[in-house]
Amino acid sequence: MKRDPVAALEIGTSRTVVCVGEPDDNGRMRVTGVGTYPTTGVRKGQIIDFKQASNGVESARIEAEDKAETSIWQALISATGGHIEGKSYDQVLPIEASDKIVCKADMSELDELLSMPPMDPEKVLLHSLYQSYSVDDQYGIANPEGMKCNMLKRSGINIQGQKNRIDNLKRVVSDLKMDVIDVAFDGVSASLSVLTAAQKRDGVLLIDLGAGTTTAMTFYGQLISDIFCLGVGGDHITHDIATGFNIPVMRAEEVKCNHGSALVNIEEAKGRIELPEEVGFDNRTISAKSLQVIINARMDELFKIIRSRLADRELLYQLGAGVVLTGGGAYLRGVTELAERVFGTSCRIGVPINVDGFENLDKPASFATIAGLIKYGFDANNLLGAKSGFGSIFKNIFGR
Amino acid sequence: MKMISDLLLIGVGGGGCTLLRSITEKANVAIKALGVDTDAASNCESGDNGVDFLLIGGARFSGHGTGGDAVNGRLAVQDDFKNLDPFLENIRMVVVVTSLGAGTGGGSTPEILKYCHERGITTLCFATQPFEFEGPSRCEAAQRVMSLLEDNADTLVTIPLDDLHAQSGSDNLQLSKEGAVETLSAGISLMWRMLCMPGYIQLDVERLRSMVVSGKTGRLGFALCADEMDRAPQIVEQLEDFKLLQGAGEGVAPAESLLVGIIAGDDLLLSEIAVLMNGIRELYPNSSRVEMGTVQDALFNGRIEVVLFAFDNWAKPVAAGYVNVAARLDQPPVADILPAASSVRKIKGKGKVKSKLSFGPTGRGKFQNSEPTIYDGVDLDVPAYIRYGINIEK
Repeated sequence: MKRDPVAALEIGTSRTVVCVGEPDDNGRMRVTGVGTYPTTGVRKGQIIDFKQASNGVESARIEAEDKAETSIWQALISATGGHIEGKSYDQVLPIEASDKIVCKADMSELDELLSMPPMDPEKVLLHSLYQSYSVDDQYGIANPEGMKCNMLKRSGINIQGQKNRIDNLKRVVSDLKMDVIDVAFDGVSASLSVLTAAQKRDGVLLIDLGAGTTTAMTFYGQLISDIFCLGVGGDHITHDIATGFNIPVMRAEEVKCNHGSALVNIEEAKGRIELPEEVGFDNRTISAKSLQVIINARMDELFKIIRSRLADRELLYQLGAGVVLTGGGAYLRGVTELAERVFGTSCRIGVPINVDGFENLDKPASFATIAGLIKYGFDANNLLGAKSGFGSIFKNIFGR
Repeated sequence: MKMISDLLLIGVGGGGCTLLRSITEKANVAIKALGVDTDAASNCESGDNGVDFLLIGGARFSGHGTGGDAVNGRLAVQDDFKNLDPFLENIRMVVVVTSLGAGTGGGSTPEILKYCHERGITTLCFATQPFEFEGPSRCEAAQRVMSLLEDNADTLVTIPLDDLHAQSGSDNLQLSKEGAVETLSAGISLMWRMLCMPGYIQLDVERLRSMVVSGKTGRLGFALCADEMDRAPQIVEQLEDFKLLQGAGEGVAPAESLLVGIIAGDDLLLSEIAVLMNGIRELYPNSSRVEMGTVQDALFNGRIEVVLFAFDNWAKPVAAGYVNVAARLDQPPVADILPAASSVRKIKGKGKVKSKLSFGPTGRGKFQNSEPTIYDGVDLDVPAYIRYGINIEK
């Protein structure tokens, strides 16, 4: 059966990306058009200038439509920002059958209870991610059907964000006469595109290093163990460089991209970096060592914050598959080595593997979120049929 | 004899634990002591000498050590910081002994010092540097860690084992190593005795602490004489020749402040104290501030032992109860342990995070008008290097 194309939109802090994907003859999702445009109305993943953000979306959409030779009238969008948090919760269901055997209906009822957690009216639920079951006092049950118990329990993680901020994100899209199919947390999306089932089983930490935010998701035993979002990203590094050397932000961004390193390299650090003359800016040199120290201080701190959180939750030793970095920050020189030192495990850059067509793009790991959205759209299409729409299925598909 | 409840001796790593055991055995006083290591074999086991042991990085290394990797040593202690808390409760000062050159001592010690400093605990660190014959890699590893120790300890006393070996006067390897441990532990255990025992001029923890807080770096000297005649002049001579007190040039290295502890039997004469103190004063510049304490113990009848701390800096002590509000942010980055460690220098004068930068009052720059990212009470929009007090060479 022919499936409709899926469109996805990511309004990032540094750029807006619109992407169109279609299933190929082998049933895999393939990207047919990508449009990008530098974002100017967003900071730390939050919209601070509605009009500018809207212009960015429109420009990226036009480019994607041209490349995919299609019209985009609805899209999945990704949300990020420090306001998004994952909250753990449990639900318990007494087994009422006389034989005390858990049946499918019990499991469905429990899942339904889990999908309706108590919510702050100021917040909106993005995803309900289910974790393992417990039968009485026995934990870590993957499938309790047919087991005997008095109480069936299941844990879950609610990913929720500030309602008004999510609504503002949606309004940018709806103002352009596009429908929002659903909103997904960027970390969840990125995990869909770059992680394998084996990694999720063995335990993996996915860190999405965005321009305005950093998202960390931990998986173990195929389930999401923890979610963390912090309003610190590549923009902060640029800002640190700009203030450290008293140079314009644009210059600092160039220096970061061309000469930056997350680790201090003793050989390179001996030299100085020349900044050529431009209009309104005299030529000058800056210390390579200082540049590396500034970046190292920021990245080291960021990783240690994540590490400390994992240690508190006793997840640090459940990273059998190591650390995977996505986002533009993953291409900062030395960042994987720094992560290996901080987390004490292997680290690699995660590129989209579950969606084709990104491999030829520059820095494919920076497209992990948008690729994950496409992947989700494709999977939901398969589940529900082309005409069914998506709705709240996004809330429940992960973690099952 | 009382046990000083707010003073803790910590031995870090295999070498540190060995030193710790030697000190507690020699001191003949109750010492609150803790051994910290990644190797379960170093377990100092609580026994008669009351030494506790904390295995760090157990989940990571299963008690088998770090394999000589300082980064592993650092990670190990970071894993188990919380386990240190019960031992640091009500502690005002810690004395850390460690042996540099391998994994746990080099990697964990700076972290432990930093952790103590964050809790307002004064830190005095004694670190031995490896013998030159142990090879350049161990010597270089020790050297790299040295700058971190300087940054994180209130006062660092470095002890090159080559100098200790020269002091011990033996060329036999075993005897030489044992002699080095003996000499160092004798000095530190003597210090402890001075603090624990009531004396004519009492040397208390607070007086030691006030000198350690501003000391930055220092040297340790130790001398004893059991002759019947001219004991004091002989001790002055021994101190003058003591290898660890020597500077780059001739004679003892200058110091801004001196702490002299004299322990002797009931036969100690006032004239001997006078000769001793005058002799020591003559070794150092007139401007050096001198603090002293004497303890008389019948066990020492017929001999005098002197321990001398020479501190390179001295400043008026801060008031008791001083709280370093910036301590929470005082964490240098992980790259400090890499070869370029010297590029990151924390400014001394703890509690005052300085910067050569001259921009806005908060450092939030382009994030000035945006919602702040606050984590654990820290504004992460302020550049990390500013919060850590790292100087930037432009």
